[in-house]
Amino acid sequence: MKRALVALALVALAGGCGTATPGGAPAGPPPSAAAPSSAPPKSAAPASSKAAPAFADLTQGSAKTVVKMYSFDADNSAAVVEPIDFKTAVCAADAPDCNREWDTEDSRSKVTVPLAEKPKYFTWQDDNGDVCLKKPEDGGTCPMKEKAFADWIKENPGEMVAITTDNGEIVRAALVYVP
Amino acid sequence: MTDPLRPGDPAELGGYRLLGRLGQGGMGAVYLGQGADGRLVAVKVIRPEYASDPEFRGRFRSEVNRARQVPHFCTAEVLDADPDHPTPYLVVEYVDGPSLAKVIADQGPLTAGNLHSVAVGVATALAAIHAAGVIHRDLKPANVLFALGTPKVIDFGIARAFEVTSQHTRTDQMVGTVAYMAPERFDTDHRTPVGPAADVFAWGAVVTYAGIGRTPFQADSPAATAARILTQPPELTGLPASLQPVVARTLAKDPRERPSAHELLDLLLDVDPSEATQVVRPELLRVAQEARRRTRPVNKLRRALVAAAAVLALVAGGLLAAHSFAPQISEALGAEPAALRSDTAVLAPSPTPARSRVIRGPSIFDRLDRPGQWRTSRQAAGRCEFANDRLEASTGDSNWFACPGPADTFAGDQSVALDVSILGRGACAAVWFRVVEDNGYQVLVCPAEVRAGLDSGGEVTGEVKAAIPAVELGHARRIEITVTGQQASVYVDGIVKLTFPVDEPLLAAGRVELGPYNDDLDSGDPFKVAFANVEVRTL
Repeated sequence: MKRALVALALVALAGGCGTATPGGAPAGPPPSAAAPSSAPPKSAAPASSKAAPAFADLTQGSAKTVVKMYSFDADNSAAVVEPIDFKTAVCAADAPDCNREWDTEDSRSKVTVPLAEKPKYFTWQDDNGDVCLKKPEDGGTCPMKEKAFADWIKENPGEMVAITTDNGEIVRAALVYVP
Repeated sequence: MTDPLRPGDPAELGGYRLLGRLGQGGMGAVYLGQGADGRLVAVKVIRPEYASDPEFRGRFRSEVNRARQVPHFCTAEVLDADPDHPTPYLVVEYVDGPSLAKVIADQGPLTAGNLHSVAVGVATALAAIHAAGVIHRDLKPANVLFALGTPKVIDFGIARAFEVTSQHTRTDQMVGTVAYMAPERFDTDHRTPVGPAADVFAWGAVVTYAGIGRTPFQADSPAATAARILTQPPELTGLPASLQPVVARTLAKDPRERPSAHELLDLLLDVDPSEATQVVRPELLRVAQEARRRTRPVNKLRRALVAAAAVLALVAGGLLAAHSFAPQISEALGAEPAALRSDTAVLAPSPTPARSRVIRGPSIFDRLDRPGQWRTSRQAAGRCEFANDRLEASTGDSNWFACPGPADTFAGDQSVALDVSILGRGACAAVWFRVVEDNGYQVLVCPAEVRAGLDSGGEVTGEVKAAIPAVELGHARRIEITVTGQQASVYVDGIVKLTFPVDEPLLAAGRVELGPYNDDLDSGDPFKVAFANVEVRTL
């Protein structure tokens, strides 16, 4: 019975941390017009016993995630990003050794993501210096102009940005505050 | 103390001129460098055996990224790094001063005032490091340097990349110095996660050493020291009375009984202001107080948000509290130790993406319908331009051309998949992988055949070829190259056409490049090809 209780608690904790691997199998490649009807045999890939973390798939559909943005090109409507796992409340708030609000894990996956026609951009500090931030994983909430956003990424490539995609395109991008 | 460069040492790295050797550590050599602006820096070059491990590079990259987010409160600033360089390196602020270890060795234990300054300075650094989500993992007197009398902590976070590598390759070694290692680190399976509390324990050991000239669990051998750490109370006789209770708390066997770094800073600073100024240098006190303000932990709003879920943690926490060592519990119960991590018990769920992808290593995804990771190029040798929702490339006055693309390197088992179209009968589409300078493996997709071999500066050896069905010009084929072990296979529209060896030792890792290749000079057609939907994955 004790074992069952521990296992239940552990499963619940692991499920809440956002790092569990859904399904347990690697996601397949996104469909493309010229995708082959028969993929290479799966045996070509070595089996791995280690569960790998899951990250937002930005090549299709809709997603909301934090990324590291390496480049932003408004003229060509494209951004190069690396989705990361942005883990909030990494420890119990009352734990004596809890002094981190969040932690991150890199995906090491770089994706070129198109921009929607008119994305919305946000920062965590307005022109008056007032902070506009609710949840760290959502980034700032003060609107900013596209050029200012582009300039910021140019000055700070690889910094974290909270993005929302719809139909594989970025519709919202908000700078994430880093202390 | 700087030693001259040795034969074989690089003269320059990442734009920094190397002036001499500062030392040799477990991770590799440390050089004194100078940037173009004249600023002196410490350049840490990673040892070759680590550099050849792509997983290490990934961890190194991740840890460096985190370390760069650490505020500069009593920490040496991480200035630059290149995990993808053939010789990965890290550039940090050069601290021109002796280490705490050298000061103690030369001059003996610190006076009470100096000791309190060191205690506050190192606690300030830990608060900043932990606030950025980084754990030092190797705090010891050699990693505390004095710049103009102010302590600065170096080498934070980087130890993790080596620690994991050591787990994989040298199970008899641990990163860290035994005398400063917390009890939870002495897990024989090396599976217990190290949390920020381990750094706080190391702080207690460092301050004890600085104050009395010996570590709190000092014994005749590392094994005896470890045994004392696990079973005996600390020996703190000789420490100033004001510090003893604080140090004793940080050396608690149970990590949950230790204060956090931020609480530690509170304990050290929450004294009468006039008294604090007397024992801690005013400029250090200002930095410490600013760090305390900026690194304030989880706020009240977050506490409220997680309150409901905290019940769950209490269930797990209560069960854990009955035991000292998580691995022993996990082994007894057959549970995975990682799930027992008290420092990663997540209470508030992260935003859940609509779809997720499992990543096993570096990967690249690009539709190639616009400039992104591959870029436009117009040169005499060739052109790469984005048109018709694809990357169209043609040769100029050269018989091949590589479109400018990502510098990311891939090693080990990997795959490269993309759509390839031939737009002129005399052209082949070239995919190069494991490219290092002018060398790499080359796969040519031509109108009626596919060829592959080792391209050494334009000279192809070991070439194999196979016929493929002819298609109309402009028709896209899906090409996939998979590398498993020392063999590569080329699939055309899902059917394997070629296999060839990839066993050149110097090409164990490298970039992926795409471009056009002139094949039939008499065809009369433009030497033009197109690429789309490229995916490079680590398998």
